[in-house]
Amino acid sequence: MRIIVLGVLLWIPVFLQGQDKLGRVSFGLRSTISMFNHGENTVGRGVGGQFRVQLLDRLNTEWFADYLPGTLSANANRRDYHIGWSVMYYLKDHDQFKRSFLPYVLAGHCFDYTRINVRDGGNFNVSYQDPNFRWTSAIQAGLGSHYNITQRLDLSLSAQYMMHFGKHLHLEESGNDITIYREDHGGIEGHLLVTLSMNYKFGIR
Amino acid sequence: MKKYLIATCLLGLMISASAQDRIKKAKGIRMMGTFSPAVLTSIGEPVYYLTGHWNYYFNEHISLVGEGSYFMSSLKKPSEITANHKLLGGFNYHFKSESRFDPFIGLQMGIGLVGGQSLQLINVKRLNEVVPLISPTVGMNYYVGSIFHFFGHVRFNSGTSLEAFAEKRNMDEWQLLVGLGLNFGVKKG
Repeated sequence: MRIIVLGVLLWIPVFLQGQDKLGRVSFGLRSTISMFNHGENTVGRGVGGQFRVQLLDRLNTEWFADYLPGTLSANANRRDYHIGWSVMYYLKDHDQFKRSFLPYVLAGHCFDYTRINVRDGGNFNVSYQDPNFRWTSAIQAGLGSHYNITQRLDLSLSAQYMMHFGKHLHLEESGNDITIYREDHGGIEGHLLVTLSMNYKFGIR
Repeated sequence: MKKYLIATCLLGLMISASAQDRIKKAKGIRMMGTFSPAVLTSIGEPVYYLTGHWNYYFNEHISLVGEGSYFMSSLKKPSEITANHKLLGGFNYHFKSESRFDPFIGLQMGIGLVGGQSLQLINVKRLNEVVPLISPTVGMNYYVGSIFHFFGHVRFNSGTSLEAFAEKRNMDEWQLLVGLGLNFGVKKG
């Protein structure tokens, strides 16, 4: 395993050596809307940051971190923290990023920390059968497009479906009684993430 | 009336003449601090901030932006809002190159620290919450010279508080920033 990782790492400079310097590294800030959260009718809006490292002419990588709060019910909220990466494949030649619209497909992996908070100030009886947080791992895939304002500055919009692998964290409400518990078996839960980001490229000649 | 017309024409001529001078902003920094008024659109509540803001011009058209706003007070008394501080970052696109007039559009993202209190329930504690923000901006800078500039920016800060108040609250607001700022590394051409 270590040999494979070492081999990949050794190959990265070789790939970069053969590439034009265009858009090799960029950084940006992003705003994400999370929809259809795990079958719950909630929408969360988050903020985060990212950087990209372009490995090949048509292959870019995106490394991101997001903070996504959202409502679970009138009395409780959830907060998701994502940290992960995606591989982006450009469907067209980027033409030194002179092309206005540059569509791509992307897929990747992320780690997710979720926490459920019951709103303060209410008269609730809250019982925690399990901790009100959990860590999971997730994969995501989708479509996106850069809008290149200039060669260096782009506005990017992407939509990805993210699937989490782990034990679901649930909230059950009955009158003034709120119960937070974790399912005792693993499963897949998903949500749609729509991300708008603005990014600046370094390394353009 | 005639005097006002002449004065206006002279001012226009001066601005037009000065606009022909080149001001190189690439690799330069502009900074400003100001009191900025804002209105929360969902409840029509006027508030004001102490705001600090900087731009670093990568080149004549693109700049990196950082901004912090400290919530001073609401002008509505009593108010449920006890805090609405903001920290934003992003980029601006500047339309003109080497011009004293510097119109731009921008997009910033960041976080707000929102605090609320209940005016009815005295036993409910104050809450502070981190709220994600997105903030499109439009504005104009006018570079008097290599040291000073005037600025006028309008931004729309959009965010939602989930926990700081008795119910979920839309914290969208229009914010106005006007004043005189300082430049560093900006050169007359």
